[in-house]
Amino acid sequence: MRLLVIEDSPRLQESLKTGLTRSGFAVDVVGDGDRGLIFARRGVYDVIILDLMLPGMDGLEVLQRLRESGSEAQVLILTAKHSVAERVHGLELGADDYLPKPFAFDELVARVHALVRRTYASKGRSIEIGDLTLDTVGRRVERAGVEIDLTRREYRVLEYLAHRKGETVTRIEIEDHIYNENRLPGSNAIESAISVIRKKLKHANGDGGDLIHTRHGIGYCLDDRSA
Amino acid sequence: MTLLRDRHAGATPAPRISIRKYLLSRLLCLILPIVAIGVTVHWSIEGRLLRTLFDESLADKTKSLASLITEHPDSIRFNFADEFMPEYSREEDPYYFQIWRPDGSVLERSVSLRGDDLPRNLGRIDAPRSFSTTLESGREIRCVGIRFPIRQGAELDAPGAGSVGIVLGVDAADLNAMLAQGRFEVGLTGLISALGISLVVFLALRRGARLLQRVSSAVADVGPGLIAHSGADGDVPEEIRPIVRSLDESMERIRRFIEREQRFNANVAHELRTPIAELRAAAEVALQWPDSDAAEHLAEDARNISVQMGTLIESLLELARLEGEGEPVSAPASFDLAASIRLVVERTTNAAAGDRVVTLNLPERLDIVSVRSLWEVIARNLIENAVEYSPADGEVIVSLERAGDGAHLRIDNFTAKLDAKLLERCGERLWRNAAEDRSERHFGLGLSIVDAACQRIDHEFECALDGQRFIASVRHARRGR
Repeated sequence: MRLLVIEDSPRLQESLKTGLTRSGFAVDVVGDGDRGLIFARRGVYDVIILDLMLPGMDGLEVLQRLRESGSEAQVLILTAKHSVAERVHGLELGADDYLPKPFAFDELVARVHALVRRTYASKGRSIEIGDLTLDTVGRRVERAGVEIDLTRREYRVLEYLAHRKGETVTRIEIEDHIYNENRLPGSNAIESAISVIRKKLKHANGDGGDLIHTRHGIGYCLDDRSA
Repeated sequence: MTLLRDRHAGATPAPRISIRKYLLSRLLCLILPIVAIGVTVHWSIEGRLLRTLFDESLADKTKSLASLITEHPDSIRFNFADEFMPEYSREEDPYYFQIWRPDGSVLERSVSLRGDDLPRNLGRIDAPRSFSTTLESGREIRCVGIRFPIRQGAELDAPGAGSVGIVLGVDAADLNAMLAQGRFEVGLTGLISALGISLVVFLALRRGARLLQRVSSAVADVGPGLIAHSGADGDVPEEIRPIVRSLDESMERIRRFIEREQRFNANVAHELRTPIAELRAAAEVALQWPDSDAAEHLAEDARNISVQMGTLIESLLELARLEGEGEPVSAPASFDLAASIRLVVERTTNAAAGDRVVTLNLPERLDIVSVRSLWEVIARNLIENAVEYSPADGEVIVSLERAGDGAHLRIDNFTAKLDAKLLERCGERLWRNAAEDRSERHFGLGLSIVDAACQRIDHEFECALDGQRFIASVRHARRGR
């Protein structure tokens, strides 16, 4: 899942980027409101973490303009402003969640997971596709009760496909949601990752059915029904 | 709070003063004696007038009676017939007269006197003598007496010239009744006037007091949650308009003060929450992934943040010390201010100036008698502030000159971030011009510290904006401002 952090404090930027990346997210960070709006309008972010007191454009204005442009990205306001009126104002302008500073990092991650689930209409922390289970919080994958060891990149690809189970997802969409701005994946990085994931899933189920189906010329679909 | 409540509980309640009652009693105490004096004077004039008219009519009657007296070679005769003038002989309400010859013997007396005598109290014919007397019968009468020369054309007091005297009287009951009636009417008029004036004064004061009450209510309605204009300016009497204006100005100052305090509280909270959030996030991420490459960097961040928070607290404490009335200030001493400022500039620019140019317009030496430590605080904060908020390649100009017994320090820097509207908030504690001015070393306390330090040494601190040039100046306070 890909996150955008719009925060002007360089120290907090660094902590958030490190922690959220380690938590399995692809993270982009910008330090001012104007650039934040430009990034947010790209529409590739699952969750936007937005500070309110920003240089240039104010955080609330970023939010307002983002909503006016039709973006439905999940926005979590992260700010030192605490008053009820400020929270209400932020939520009324279209924020999906509000976390006051200082905050517990685990709570931030949990709220981001909740927003991601809301994006993809998931309810619980686990996603099940046939005998495949993804624990999105613990980042564990099991098939037929066998735990599958995936690299960070493989897990992200599988998680994104799982969130969009039953849908055909293009390679570009996968790239947009698992890589951040600074990563330039190789042209066949996604194909390669999917190939490895397929093998690991098959192996866990004793060469059972293939859950990832290739739609030639279009993309991939994670589904327990045969192609 | 407890001390205040106890003190009030033990105190004797102050007497309640009503302006309306006070004015009413004072005005009535003043007006009623004036009315009483007026009534008395009026009565005195009117009574005298009545008596004069009465006496004049009596004198005319006396003169007409005197015209009946004629001189003959051997005697003086009084040509009088009772039947033509019955008023001198009747029983009820009669007139009385008595006439004396020049030798003092009685020529004639009216029948009504019944042998009694009237006093021989005589005035000149052109100045009759009026008087009251009581007859032996107990009847009070009013009399007029005149004397006149027996010979026509003779001088009254000429030697050898005899004069006849005549006194005419009438029962004084009528005069007394008329005077009593007049006294009653004047007294009644006075009483009605006094009551009328009292009523008018009462109503006028009540009407006037209503305006005061309206102002009072408007002021009383301004509760602690609504520090605002009293709203009592529409029909405020001219006399209390300065009070209302002063009250409104005071409330406006209180409102601004409260707003400033609220902004300060919010700013303090923000200034503390942000580094705490940074510190907590850095610590939690470092603890959760201690083996990561970033862990060491995050720990370094945590240390820097704690240093920054320490600096903030030191700045707040410095401000509190300067603003604290009880905090002692070093005794003024003579020192070279130019040298002190050079030293401050050297330290400051070494630390933070970067590519900024700091131009010094300082005299070789400028000795003043003041508190050196406070001047250093002032210079350090002003110069750091100017350097911090100047563009990377901007210029800061530090000027110093003698001003009377003291000095005038002026720091100029260029900034595009301020406008005149924001200028007045420059000295507010922890105020910064939005997020552009976020700095790890500055918290928006510098100018507040300068202001507090200036007040300790009786100097004025002023900020001005000339286009994009921000001018901060410190000079000796002018008296009477």
